[in-house]
Amino acid sequence: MQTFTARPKRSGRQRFLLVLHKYLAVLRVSAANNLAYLSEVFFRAMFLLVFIFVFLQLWTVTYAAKGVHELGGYSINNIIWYVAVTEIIALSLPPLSRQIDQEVRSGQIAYLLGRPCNYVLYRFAQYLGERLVRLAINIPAAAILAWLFVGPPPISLFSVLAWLPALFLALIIDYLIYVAIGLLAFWTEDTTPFFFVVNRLALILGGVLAPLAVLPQPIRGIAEILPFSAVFYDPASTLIHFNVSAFGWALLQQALTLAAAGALLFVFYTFATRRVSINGG
Amino acid sequence: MSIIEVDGLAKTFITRERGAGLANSLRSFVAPRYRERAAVKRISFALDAGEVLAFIGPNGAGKSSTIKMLTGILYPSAGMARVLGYVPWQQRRLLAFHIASVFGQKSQLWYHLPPQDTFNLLARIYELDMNEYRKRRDFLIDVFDIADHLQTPARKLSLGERMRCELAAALLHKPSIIFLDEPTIGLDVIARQRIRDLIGQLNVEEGVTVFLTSHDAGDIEQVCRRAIIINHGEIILDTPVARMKRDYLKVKTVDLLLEDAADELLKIDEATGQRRLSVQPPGSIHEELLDTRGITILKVKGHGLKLEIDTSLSPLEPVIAAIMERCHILDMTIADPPLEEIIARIYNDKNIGTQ
Repeated sequence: MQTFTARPKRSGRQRFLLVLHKYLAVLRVSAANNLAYLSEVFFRAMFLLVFIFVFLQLWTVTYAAKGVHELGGYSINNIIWYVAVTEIIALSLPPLSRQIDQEVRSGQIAYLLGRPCNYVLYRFAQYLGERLVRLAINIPAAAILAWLFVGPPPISLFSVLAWLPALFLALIIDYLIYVAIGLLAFWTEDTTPFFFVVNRLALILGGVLAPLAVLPQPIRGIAEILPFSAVFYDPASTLIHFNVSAFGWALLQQALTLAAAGALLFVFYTFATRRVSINGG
Repeated sequence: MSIIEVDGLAKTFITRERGAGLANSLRSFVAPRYRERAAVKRISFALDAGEVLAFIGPNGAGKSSTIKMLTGILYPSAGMARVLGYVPWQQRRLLAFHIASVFGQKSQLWYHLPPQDTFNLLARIYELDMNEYRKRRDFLIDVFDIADHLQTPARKLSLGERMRCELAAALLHKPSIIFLDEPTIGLDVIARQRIRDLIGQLNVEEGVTVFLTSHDAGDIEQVCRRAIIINHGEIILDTPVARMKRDYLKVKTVDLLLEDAADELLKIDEATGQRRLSVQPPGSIHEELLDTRGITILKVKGHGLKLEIDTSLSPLEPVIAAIMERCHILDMTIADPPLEEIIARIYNDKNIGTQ
């Protein structure tokens, strides 16, 4: 059937640029909106001081007890920098699943679904804006603290350049996991338990507290095949303990995790939008 | 030409039931019970371009569900609808370029940012030409008188200011249809009137079709030309607002706080033994009394007087003027009959009609 209105005809390049501008605008506005929470992010970053100090004491005792200078190829300097990098990522996670959960329950999702944009991409741009503000504060704070405690980082230009795509992939995987949890609000009364289980598993088995390379078997083997290491261990070890073959494996694992998490979210989202029964409707 | 066509549209929700108490909570966990609730029951109507429709009904009547189906947010359980030729739930994103929705109880403005930032974002979301957008934005800022609020974070705006910004934001992309879900809810009298005036102005000047849901009979009376009343998911009345006013909105409740005791304005009718208003018509030089047909005394307490006035028998203005000639009015509220009362009367009239 003919529609009453027509969209202007545009070339593929024009369409691409319009779509790109659309989601970049969401990212910019989200970053600006989150500057209002700057003091909260700053205080959260201060937690790094306690964290790095405690871990320095723990690992110093562990290395001394074992009488070694390296564990799994990591010196104390390496391991403290590694923990600082994983904490940069962990502490920059916005309350994404809670936001989506509330959006579904309050009916606010109606505004977004009624817009000419893709909900998952809109939400991703919003999340990225929020997370970049947090990262912009966490990175210098963690770098200064780790430097003060254990000296300069064991990084090179190559490792930094390799870290950037690994970090970006980690942020996407994290996003897919937590959006899927938030969308569970369409089926369950409360998504908080799912968040806690996944978040705590990620902290323990993702390599936040220690590099997977220093964990004993079989925990190490299990942790390596779970998706959480793609979020924490892969980017942090790429930066702090760079070698080309490990980086290749890390990218492969991230790509596979991304594909699996993306497929999971696609299924969730397809069923969720069919279940929309917005409150007040 | 119809730009909204609705044919047998229905929506059924399945809700989980849970009895009171711990035992029932545990029971519902082991053996959950589900109940089907028909929110919208096979409704049909059509709307022409440029119409201003009031889609009204009490809480839970199915208003919001209908709006959400027509904007593509909700999938219907049965039936068909076309909005501007699109099937909303199948072509939601294409349709979204040509419609707008404003939900009175929800905000589309970014909480910590000034409305200006939301406007700029919406220009990108609706893929507007930026030169066209700036012209449009300046026009809407002028019409909605929001220049002073554009740089203020949304969280610091009053509800009335925020709602004007919400409406301006919704109109940036020149929608053909605007869906307004309770746009005046929570607003004070002045802000409410301003929003009503602006909606009317938009319809006249831009020809935008307005689909409005409201609890407030005043919104319908002053803004809309056609009203559909929905109750328990069914359309019970589809009529011009002028007829609805004549048939169902003619009775007003007037609540007065007087400087003198209210009793001084009343006397006992010898024929009926009831109290009646005893004031002279405004400007009267004889001893004649105001005709009080259609005026019922609802409540008298100290300086307070509550009247019900059937405006088809006694127009409001002379009654108020007559009272003012006798004593000062310190405060006054004029209210429409509640929607539930109007609906009860519609059912009553229908029953009489079918008997």
